[in-house]
Amino acid sequence: MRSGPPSRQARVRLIVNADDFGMAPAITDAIIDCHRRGIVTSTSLMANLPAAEHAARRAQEVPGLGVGIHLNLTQGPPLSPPERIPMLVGTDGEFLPESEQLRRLRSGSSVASRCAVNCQPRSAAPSRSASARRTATATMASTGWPASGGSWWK
Amino acid sequence: MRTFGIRCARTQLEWHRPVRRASLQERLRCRAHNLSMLLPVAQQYASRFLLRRAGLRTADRKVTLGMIYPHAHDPKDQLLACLANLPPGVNELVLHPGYEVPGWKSASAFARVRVVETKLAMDADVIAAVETNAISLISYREL
Repeated sequence: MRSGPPSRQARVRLIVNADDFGMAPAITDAIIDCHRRGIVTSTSLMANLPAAEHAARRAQEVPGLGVGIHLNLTQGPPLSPPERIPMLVGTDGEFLPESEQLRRLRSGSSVASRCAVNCQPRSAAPSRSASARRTATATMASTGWPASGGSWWK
Repeated sequence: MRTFGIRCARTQLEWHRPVRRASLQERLRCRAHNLSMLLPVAQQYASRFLLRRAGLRTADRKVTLGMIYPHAHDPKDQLLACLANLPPGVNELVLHPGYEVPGWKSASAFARVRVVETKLAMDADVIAAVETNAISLISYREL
């Protein structure tokens, strides 16, 4: 990890976070290279996507790379059993796209995951998206890393 | 944009103020569009407030290159300017690295952006700019 002179070091700090770790092997490999040979210091894992296992293996090679959770409630299969979050998944068992979730929200038949994550992170009643969130966190823990950051945008 | 040293081209709207000659409906539409541009910023502030209230550590501010240079001729200049003008505190720069592989474009709308940002993240001038501007690279672990 690079650092500047002490006088300014304490004032300007920069986290360079690479998004979408585990989305695809080509993305994972690029992030690893950008950490080894570039300025990337942190990344966020999409734990529910098929390439996440590849990412987990590659992450072991770079202990200096911070790995956080990329909360993802709109793409790929959920980590929770689909029957526990029926409002968030389609008939194929995968998360519904955001547009479909918003359509359901407008029609009053669903809880939009984005709203639940961005607006009610401390909701007293556990929501369906909170269930999916906990499962993603648990999956991260099972890889052996402490979650060091999170992306809350998807 | 000024905070991060990003050059903002003057648009016709700003410079020639054609809205003054536009109809009321067009002016209202322009105002609505301008206000909508504030929504992502407001969302970022609100999200950071809620996350911190929940006890999570976050950066003081965040910038995503893919959002600020899609029409720029030279994203490297934009990034160098950004690094040269980072304000004190904890800044977070979000990148979307990724190599191009056959069939990948159908899997990701960010395909072109990913390739550009991969090169940027490993660019020698960018790495040198981090040193030159006395920026301390950290991860969330160090917050």
